[in-house]
Amino acid sequence: MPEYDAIVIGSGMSGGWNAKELAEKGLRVLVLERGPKIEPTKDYADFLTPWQTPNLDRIPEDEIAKDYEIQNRGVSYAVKQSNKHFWVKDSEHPYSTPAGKPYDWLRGYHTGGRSLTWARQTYRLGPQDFEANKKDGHGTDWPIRYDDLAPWYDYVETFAGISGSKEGLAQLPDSVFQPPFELTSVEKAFKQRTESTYSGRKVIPARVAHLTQPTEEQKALGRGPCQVRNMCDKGCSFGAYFSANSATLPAAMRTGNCTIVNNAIVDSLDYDPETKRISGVKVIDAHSKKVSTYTARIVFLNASAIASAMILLQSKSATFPNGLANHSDQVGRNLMDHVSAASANGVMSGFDQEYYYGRRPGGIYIPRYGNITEQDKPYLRGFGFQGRSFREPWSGAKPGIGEEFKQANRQPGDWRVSIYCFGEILPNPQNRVSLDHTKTDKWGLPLAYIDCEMGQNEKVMMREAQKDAYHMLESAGLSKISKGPDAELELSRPGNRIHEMGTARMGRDPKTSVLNKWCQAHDVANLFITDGACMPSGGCQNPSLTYMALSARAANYAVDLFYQGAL
Amino acid sequence: MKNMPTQLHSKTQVIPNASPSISRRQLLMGIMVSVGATATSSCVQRFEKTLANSPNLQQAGSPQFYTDNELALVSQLTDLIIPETDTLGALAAGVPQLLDQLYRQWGSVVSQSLHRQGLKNIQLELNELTQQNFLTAPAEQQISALRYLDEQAFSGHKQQYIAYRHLKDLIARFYYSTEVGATQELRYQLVPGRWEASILMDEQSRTWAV
Repeated sequence: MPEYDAIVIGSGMSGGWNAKELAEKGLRVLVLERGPKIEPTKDYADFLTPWQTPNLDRIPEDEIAKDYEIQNRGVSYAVKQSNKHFWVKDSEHPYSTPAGKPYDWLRGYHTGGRSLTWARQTYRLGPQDFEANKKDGHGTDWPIRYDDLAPWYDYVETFAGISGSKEGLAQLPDSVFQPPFELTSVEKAFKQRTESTYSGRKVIPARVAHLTQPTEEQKALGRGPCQVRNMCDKGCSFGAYFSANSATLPAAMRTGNCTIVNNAIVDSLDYDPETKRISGVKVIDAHSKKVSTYTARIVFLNASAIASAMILLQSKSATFPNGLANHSDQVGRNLMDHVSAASANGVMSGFDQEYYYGRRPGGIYIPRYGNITEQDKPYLRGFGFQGRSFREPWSGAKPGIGEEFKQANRQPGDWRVSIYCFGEILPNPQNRVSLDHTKTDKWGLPLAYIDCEMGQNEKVMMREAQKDAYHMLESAGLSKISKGPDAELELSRPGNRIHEMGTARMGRDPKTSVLNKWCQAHDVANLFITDGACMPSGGCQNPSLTYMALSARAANYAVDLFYQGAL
Repeated sequence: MKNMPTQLHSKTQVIPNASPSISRRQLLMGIMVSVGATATSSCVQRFEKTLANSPNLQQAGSPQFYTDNELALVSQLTDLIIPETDTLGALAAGVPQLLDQLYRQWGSVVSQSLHRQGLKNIQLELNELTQQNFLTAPAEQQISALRYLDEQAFSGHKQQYIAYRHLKDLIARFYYSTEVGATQELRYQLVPGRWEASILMDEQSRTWAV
């Protein structure tokens, strides 16, 4: 008799959803989290003033070199002394890459995972994203279409709380929204000018997972409205942005059906060839290194795309000598992220009498138009721009000394509009995570060997995006534009956008994909994977919302099978 | 040369909650003497007005990284770049101690060494401009020399004056991150509570510290 009905491996963005859905439907759920607990009163640093964070909140340089070299290289703006416990120590959690092909694997091991540190930008995929692979032949066809997921987007958005504006755009369908954060006058002017110059482009308020008008359901979980502090990297004591910690895990726990075990590193999944099911989850205690095995009728793998693939690859058996559920040889392949490089900002004059109050957590978004409303692009698929307006803040990098220097900083500077590109990366089987055959970590598990690079389409796309960025700002009347149309571009390192996807893709054919349309392994009926690994392609939108919807959909399917006795 | 505002040499001001520390006064006096300064300069007066209740500053404690001469230079530059006006300046806000703490606790050996070398270069440059020990030069000459250095650093000689630009950047970062810099010189809201996309500026409006 299994101890639990379901085991969820990973407590972050997608795992939290599975825990909630399964527990609310009456299943006894065990959540395995490889990192420690997060206790908001102790671990959140969101009430510290600038003068309460010594050394400008910098982590000592020697400590960065020793423990946080990659995390800091990747997201130095977010890895600080006061929240460094939200990021892994690279020294404890190494991985390897081929020479000359660096990869940024940026992550935190703790309850809630990266749902605690995400950028909270929240966009649905559009119909075109589910059809892209079939249309241009890169990757394999999604086994579902937009309409299959739409009701689940509605479902998760209602619970999570997304602020945004209804726009009626086919390529970026509206969510269930709470009120948007209003655009500044400068953004409104930029919107008006851009939309009148480019009939196929839109400038809309960023859609972010922040409560602006909490529902009774959200309030009952102890969540409150966004206080507009922009301290989100430090955790949120108001529970105002969506995280597993603020929303899904509390919902799971209040059912009384959910248990979370921390410091539980999954070694591998035991496979029973008789039943053709996973029969146990082998776990190493992070501190004692004691090994134990948990059993359940259903296993959800939500360790994040690279780690979930690693767990499958580590789970070898006579039936699956190359890793569990890997008859297709697609486990670990098609590793995707998003690509950035194109960006620009410029000065908009005429609004010197205006300022703003509060630190808004999002700004503007320019939805994808390439190969949607504008055709004949020299690249496949497309990109969107995130952005914002702001008045230049105080700075030590301006001339002057004495009172005139103080006075110069006392008044805010020019208004600037800044836009920043996120583009789609084509699925490519050569971009791959596999087991390092020579190195192991301190728990004796093989290191991930991550071999991934940007392709030609990404390079061409960013080149075009840079031209577009410049011309949009120029045509909107901005001056002092920071980067020209032909500026030299350095593509973001693979992994740096922190949107790992694709390493156990869904598909229609078991020979070329790992999961079916329910995120259920073709080869192993009681295994579901609903983190970024399941994505056949990535769109150009921030993907967390899609993981949430896929998770809720898969969990409810699994619940049906469970009660039918099929699992 | 434009004269420095008279506020630099300065009026005294009652600072709520400030607790002037004799030991700190003695410390700075000692430093000034050790580098040949004779006056109980206004620098000392402002130094002792440090907001001793600032949490960072309490932790920072007495300078330990800087030599006496380095501390005197950093204190003087801090005071000249962000002086007391109708609000406290960077010296009284404790920026030299915060810089000392930064290099003591944050800086690697390489950064520490670069910073020391940078300070040395800045002082040599300023000594040359004043034709004497900058630290003991008359205030007007100090200001004149620093103003020239600053103009050079922000007019196409960026690399040559990188140490100065870096120090100035840190002084500004620390000052506007102190309680007085953030809440009195500029403005700061720990919990804004709402978003207003457009508020009208008036003469009292100030830059948000964050």
